[in-house]
Amino acid sequence: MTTLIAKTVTKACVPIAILFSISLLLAGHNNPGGGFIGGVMFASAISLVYVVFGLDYIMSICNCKWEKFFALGLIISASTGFGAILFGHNFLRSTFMELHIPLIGEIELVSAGIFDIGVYFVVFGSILYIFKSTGDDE
Amino acid sequence: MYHNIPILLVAVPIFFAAITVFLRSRFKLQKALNTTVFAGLFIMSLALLLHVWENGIVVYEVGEWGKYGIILVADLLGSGMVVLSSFISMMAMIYGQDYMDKETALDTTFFPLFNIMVAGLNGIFLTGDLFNLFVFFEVLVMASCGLIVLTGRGDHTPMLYKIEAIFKYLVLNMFSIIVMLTAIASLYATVGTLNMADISVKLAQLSAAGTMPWHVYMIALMFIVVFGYKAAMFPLHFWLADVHPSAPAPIHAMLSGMVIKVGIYGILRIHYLIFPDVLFLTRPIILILSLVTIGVGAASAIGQYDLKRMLAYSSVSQIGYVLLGVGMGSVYTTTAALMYLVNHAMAKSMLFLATGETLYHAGTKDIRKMGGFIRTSPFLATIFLMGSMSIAGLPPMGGFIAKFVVFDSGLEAGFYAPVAIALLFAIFTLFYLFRTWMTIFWGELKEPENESDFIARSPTPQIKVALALLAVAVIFFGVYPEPLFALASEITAQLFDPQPYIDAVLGGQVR
Amino acid sequence: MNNTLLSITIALLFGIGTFMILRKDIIKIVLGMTILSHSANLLIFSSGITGGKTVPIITEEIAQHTTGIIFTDDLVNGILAPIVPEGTEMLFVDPMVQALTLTAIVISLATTSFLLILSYRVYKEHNTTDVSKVRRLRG
Repeated sequence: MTTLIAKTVTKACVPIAILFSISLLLAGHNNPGGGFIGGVMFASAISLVYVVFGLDYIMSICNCKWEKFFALGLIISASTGFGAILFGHNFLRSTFMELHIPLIGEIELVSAGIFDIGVYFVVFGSILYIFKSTGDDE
Repeated sequence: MYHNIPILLVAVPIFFAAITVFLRSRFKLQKALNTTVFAGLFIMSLALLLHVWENGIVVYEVGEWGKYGIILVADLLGSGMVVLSSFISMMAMIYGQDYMDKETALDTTFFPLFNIMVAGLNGIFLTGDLFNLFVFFEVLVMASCGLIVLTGRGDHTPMLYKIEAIFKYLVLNMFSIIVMLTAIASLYATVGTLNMADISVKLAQLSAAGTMPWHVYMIALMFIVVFGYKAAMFPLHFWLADVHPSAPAPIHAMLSGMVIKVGIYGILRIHYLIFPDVLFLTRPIILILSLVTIGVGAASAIGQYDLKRMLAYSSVSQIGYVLLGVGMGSVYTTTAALMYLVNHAMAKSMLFLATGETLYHAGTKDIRKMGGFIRTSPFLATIFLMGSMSIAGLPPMGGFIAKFVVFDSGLEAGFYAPVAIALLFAIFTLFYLFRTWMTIFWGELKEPENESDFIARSPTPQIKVALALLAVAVIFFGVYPEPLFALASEITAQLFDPQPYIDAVLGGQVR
Repeated sequence: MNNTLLSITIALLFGIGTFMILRKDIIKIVLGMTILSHSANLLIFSSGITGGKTVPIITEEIAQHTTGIIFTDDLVNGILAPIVPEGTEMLFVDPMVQALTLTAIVISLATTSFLLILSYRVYKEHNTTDVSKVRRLRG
């Protein structure tokens, strides 16, 4: 799979795919998108790199411990739940805040967004961990 | 503060599962942390049970969405099961810290997966939402699959066999889950809600109007298939003897002690709350299948020489007694079934934990190659004897009271033939358990010159603590069963009259 | 959506899945499980599909112009529940069904990947994917 065309296309595509996944993640609370879809998008971008450049090449650059991302996402998601308890509400109770920033305008800060970030980490961490450990196995 | 306990019982293990992934190589810290967490869970569940006993059902709306969101309901049955599972999982955790291999299990996935498994169990017992029940089933199964592959020191099953066992477990489980999904989808299409109390109300309305659709009966039977699979009821019991013996001892204790009880819990919850009108159809089915389960389990156990496999078939047989109590269907028999469930869970997990140590002590899993271990390890002999006595139903262990109550209630309800059959196979149980105990612990030591080797492979103090605490619990419920009996009667009263549950969940409110 | 066509599709998928899991090849069993779980997902999905209704995404425009939606919860604290009480005409397809299907799909993704890895390990150890040659656990 390591032809020049594939490598060039991957170099061009992967940053765009990652940015798109982040945009899906941030749009998720009001529009189509969300943590799961963004995470799957991110995972597919990274797994494209794995397929095209080969596992050994990636491992020589950075040996990513994807299971740590998985655990981090789980901690983030669970913490948003516990956060609501600290404020005297029920677990996972969501709230939002309208914020006015000069030049940018109105933005909406949603606590479900933080939960979505956690889901994003969980999804790409678990999928990439599965890919890496099955690809690693000789 | 009591208000938050149901969600903490589910969320705290998940949170600590994530934390323990980061602490993988720091073994001492993990040991202390997990022991604390599991002790905390046990104390919380006990507090919840006492609170529910005093003040009635606790309902927790996750995310404050009212009855349209996911709710957790802690009634007496749910919180009682949570106390039982917390106790057994705490003991299995304490035991497992010394039992499991350090490199391949304790430093990798044992702690995170065990936490997730406990979260799944607690979620199943506490949830009030049908679809959420399915999600927690899946959480439980995936976590237990990951735990079965781990190895421990008395675990003589090769990895190849474990993989085959998990493949069977997962495929069959996926099939049962698909049946459950189909049932849930049909039920949702019929009544348009997933809240169990709400479904109950709407089906009762349909039934009162005389317009109960015929497929509701089919849905009830599909749930019997699902929970019968989980509980290893007769035509669906074949996977258990392959899967459970492949697991290392603490996981085996959890699987046989708690995870198959999930099926019983499901039958009690779903069929008494949602389908009380279909009970005339489901009770005889459960009764007949339970008798066959008792017979098939006991007959298969007699022919086994593999110790773990024999005890796994014994689990099949014993789950039949619980189902017998459920199937006979009077108030007293259901109380008896609950008492049997509690006593069997404790005695069986103790027996399995002792079995793991015995296999390590013997260095083989073939009963015929063991003998005379009472000289090298009197502690294990005592624990194993107590477990066998409780399972076989001899006083003063808890199993005696449980068996006595099941038979007494059956006779009182007029089920003479089923009780006679069950009594016959109880003698089988007595026979195969004591034959095993005598072969393993009495007689000549098989290799006399190796006595010091055997002594070197003795239980560590931590393992002894876990086994001794379980033994104390088994004896306690044998000599003083009144609190258990009172709790079981109260649970049964709630089961037969689900109106308090429905009132607590729906609360008369519009939302 | 034509309901008859949908039911026939679900039935066919169930049939194909059941046929596949009765084969002797491990990969075919896994694929059969996947097809079966997708037919169950489609069954859940079908219980919420009825013609002539819009997507359950509530924009401000729809919220102003329709009367069928009732927000039963406290709007001031930011809770929006697209819930229609009994007796009112429904304008949206049931959003709950889509959430259920998504959850079921995610779960079947996890289970299928687990099963595929297991079958890969079985193939590595035995050099065959025939289940009748793999069986070792007896007793």
